[in-house]
Amino acid sequence: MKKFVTKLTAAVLLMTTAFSVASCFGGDEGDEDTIRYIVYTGGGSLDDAHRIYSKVDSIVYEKLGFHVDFEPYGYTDYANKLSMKIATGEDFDMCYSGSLLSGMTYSSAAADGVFADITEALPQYAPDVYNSLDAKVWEAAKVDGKIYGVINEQLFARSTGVAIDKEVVEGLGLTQEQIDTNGWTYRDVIRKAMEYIEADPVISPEGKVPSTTLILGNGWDEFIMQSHGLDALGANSYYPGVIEAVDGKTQVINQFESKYFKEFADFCREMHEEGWIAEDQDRLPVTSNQRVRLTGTYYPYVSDAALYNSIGRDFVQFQFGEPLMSTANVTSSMTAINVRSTKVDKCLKFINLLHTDKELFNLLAIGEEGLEYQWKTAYDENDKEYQYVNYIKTSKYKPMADWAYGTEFNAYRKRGYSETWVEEVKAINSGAVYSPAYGFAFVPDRDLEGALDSAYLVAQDYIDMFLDGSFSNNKNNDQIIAEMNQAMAPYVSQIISAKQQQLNAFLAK
Amino acid sequence: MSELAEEKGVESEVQSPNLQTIRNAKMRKKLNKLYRNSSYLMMCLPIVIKTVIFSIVPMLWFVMAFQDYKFPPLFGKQNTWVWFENFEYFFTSGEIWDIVGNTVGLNLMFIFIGTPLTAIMALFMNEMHSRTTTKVFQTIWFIPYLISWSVAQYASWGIMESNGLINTVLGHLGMEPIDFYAASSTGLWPLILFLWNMWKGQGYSVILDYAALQSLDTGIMEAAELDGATRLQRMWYIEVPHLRKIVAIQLIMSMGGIVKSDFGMFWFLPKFEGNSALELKKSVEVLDVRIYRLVNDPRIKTDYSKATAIGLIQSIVGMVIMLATNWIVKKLDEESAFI
Amino acid sequence: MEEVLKTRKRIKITRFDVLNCLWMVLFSLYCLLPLCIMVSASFSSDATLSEYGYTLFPKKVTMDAYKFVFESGGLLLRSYLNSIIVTGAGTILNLFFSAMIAFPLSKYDFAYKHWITPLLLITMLFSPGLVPTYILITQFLDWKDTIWVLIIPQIGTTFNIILLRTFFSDIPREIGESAKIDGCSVFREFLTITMPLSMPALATCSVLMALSYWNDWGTPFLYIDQFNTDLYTVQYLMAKLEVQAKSWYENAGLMGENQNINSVIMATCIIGTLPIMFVFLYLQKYIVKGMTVGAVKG
Repeated sequence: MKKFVTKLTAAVLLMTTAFSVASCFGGDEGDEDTIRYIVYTGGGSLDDAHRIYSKVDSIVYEKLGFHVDFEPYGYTDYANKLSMKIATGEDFDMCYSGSLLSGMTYSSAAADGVFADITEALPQYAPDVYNSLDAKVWEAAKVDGKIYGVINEQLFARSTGVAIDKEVVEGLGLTQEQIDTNGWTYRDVIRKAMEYIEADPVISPEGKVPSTTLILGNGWDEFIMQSHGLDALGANSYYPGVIEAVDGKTQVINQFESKYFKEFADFCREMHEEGWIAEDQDRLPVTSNQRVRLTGTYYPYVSDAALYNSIGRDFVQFQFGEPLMSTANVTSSMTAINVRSTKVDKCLKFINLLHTDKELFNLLAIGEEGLEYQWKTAYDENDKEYQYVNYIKTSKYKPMADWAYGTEFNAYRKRGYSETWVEEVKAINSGAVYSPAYGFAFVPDRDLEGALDSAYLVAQDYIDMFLDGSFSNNKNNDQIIAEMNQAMAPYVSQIISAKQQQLNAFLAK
Repeated sequence: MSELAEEKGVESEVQSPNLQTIRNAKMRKKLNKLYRNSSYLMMCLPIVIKTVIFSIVPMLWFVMAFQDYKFPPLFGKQNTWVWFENFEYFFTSGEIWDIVGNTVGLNLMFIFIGTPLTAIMALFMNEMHSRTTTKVFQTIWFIPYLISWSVAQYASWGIMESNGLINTVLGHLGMEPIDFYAASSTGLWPLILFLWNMWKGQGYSVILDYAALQSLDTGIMEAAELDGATRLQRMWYIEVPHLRKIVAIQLIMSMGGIVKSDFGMFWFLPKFEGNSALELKKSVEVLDVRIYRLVNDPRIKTDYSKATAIGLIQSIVGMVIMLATNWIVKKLDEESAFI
Repeated sequence: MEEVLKTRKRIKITRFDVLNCLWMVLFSLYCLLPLCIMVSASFSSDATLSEYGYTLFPKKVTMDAYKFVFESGGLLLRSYLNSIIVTGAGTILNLFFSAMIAFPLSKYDFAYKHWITPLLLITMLFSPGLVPTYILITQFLDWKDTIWVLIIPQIGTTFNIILLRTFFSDIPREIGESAKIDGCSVFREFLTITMPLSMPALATCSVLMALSYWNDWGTPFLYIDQFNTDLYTVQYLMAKLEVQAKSWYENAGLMGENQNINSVIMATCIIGTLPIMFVFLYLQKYIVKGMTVGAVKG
């Protein structure tokens, strides 16, 4: 008995020790023929993602002879997961990056040395991607003269867009020309549309229905910054310090003290006080009553299709402000390669394939025919029949982020798109004004981080207050803005002078 | 044979003139000791190995606190040494002192109101005659302890949202609704956190104190009753002194955790991820929340070095306070000392 | 003595008793209030909730939320199963190994006690940050998306070891010594004498361990992939319920109107919490017993 117990003890102990020791050395070595891709997905369902990924993988294996292992994260935790993977040196080969990841933008990550330098490898292994964009566009991706990521081509030159129900537009007889010649701002046009809706008993039998008629899309950073052609210098627009890029000025100003912010605040207050927006607008589901939407970025087609999908009505978009090419706009969606990866060539080949193979791109971005989408027929303005993809609502793969996987110009035609939509959107890009700070991205010093974080939080708090109408009615906007600038004052001057300093150094080159 | 005798034995041999013999003898003693304790050591081995792997080796990474850490390897070129910059941030940034103030202030409130209140509740609970009734109450009071904050947060919405219970009641009474997540309610939050903290842990602590009272010798109580002592007198003269020591120890013990907080409560209740007002978030942000945010909040720049530095300070302060309290406890009651 | 007891039983109910009972009832209601809200909301629809607000009793009783959860929540069942496996296996392993180290530490003749105790205490004070732990688990152990990560890191918590050590040292020294004289090995003494003698202590510890395994929502957040639904635990599901409820609706093709997100969240919470709560309530006496010793002694 004693012997047995001793043996048992020894066995248990040995197993524990062996287990812990073995697992210490038994780490996954990583397959030579597989590239690991940390992929960004929107907020939609991804329950069937593995089906799509294995299909993509088999196509890639057939064409290029290696496997792709996808690891998807949605918008809620992508930035966190990626920064954790980078900080802990987890093995991955390529990832989505971009200026919209506020925690770690492409430029700051590249400056930290996180991504591989692909200045030479890019034209060699992904010539199609490289040649599809002008050399000037690639300047935006350069950090210290080197390229660290592949730009996903899309609508770069952004301006503000307002989407209005087609019935309302027809009733008003509103055209883009009319807006441009009269110099109407988005506020004027929205007001006109609202007044029309309120007065029309057919469209709005209940009169004014707050929250269902106007939604303030993404708010300040998209629709005010863009409609006035402001450039936040590659950093988040909640950080103080922008230049009036469309006018070609290079003086860094504090946008929260400018007339632009005042206009934004006044607009929000008017809309709230007149009862057009419900206080809990962001909590309300999208409903079919919605007639006017500030969509953020003017896009001739995509928003129409998206709005049709979610609301089930036709919308017309109007453009406000001059389209602007800025570093942040161009680098908003990138695919970068891990500096630790040994498979730079394979990654670039895969990116090139996604760029050239339309079917593969759509498989990844939309899914499979019959399961995720169907082809449907519609007629365009000239009564010409065309086929468009219609998403199936019950599908379990809805990344809704075409722009994250490669150039969205590879995407299938959607409802409301014209035959020549690709050329039209490309024309906006090529005809746009370049910001004087194009190619420059503000990378803060370490000792400035605390000030930036604090300023960001103040800005966010007040912007949210205006958006959701929770501002105090006892104070007028001037008082609230003064209060905000006072709260931000300790941080503003050092941030703006740092931005100006870096920008001047860049311009001097 | 006791350890003490053995050590003395070794000492006496040190005085022997032949060095070689001494070394051999010492070695033999050591091996002998090892051999005698081998079964014990073997039993300790699994947890010791686990502890070394999971807790001791990773402590090497505390050097991150002295770096501008970017990515591994830890001692690579990309991680520049900034030495005490991260700690300077801690000591010079006024914001951090606010956070320390919140942490310590709220904890002091929880401890100094909560602990005596617990004792009083336990005293009165002890006055219940029916054991079945007490049992029922105990069971109900225990429930919140079992609900994690990730679940309780949804209940907190149901109570404090704009259409939550409190505002519904206020609406029926014809009173102005309160927006608990707006900047204007910042002053209410210490109370709100206190009430939620009480909801979660008070019942449980009362049960523990009550159990301690149960160990009181019933004979004394009976004798006092026969002597004609009233209930309150009995409580005051017999039970309170009995409980006083326990409460004192509890108070001192909880002082050790004064720089730590219940992360779940401080993270979920004020809706740090949601759209509650900044002023409110600032007024309830505690060290654990800041550490978490430095690593996980997309709205501020991820900084593992600063997070490590704050964590390190938190641990050191916690350790100093704990050693001090242990010393005090030792003075008060040898038995209850920790180490 | 018996007479005294009898007289005590006959004591008539005074005002003091009524007041005493009253505050206890009030405090009980306070403890139950959040739970009541959740139950009531889970039986309402979102439309009712936004019209009448949250109430203690549902205004219009509907089972829609529960129906929906059971129809689309195969995930809930799966999470339950995982939580039970993790809690069960974790508790058994944790208890065995913790007791195994607590046993020598409770022995007066264990010479290296003063080396090992500080080692354990240090870990209680200095928890290494997220980064090294993450590196260890994902790169060296390769435990990401495995069940091990939910079980192993929690094994051998210092607090539990100290608790067990305190219990073990209460066992009379003579019992162990007489066993030794009979030629019993140390490990056998541990298995056949100490363990059976400290059953109540082990019960306490196992309930505490089970509770901490069951309520652990942080670990899966870090190490379990959001698409790896095979390894979801109940607490993980609860923590990301808001997103999850939306995606259930999306998968069912119900966008926009007719969503009961809030009531579905509440219903899932109730289903996920209540059954296990009764189990722990049943076991509460062990926790109380253990914590009384633990609170005073360690």
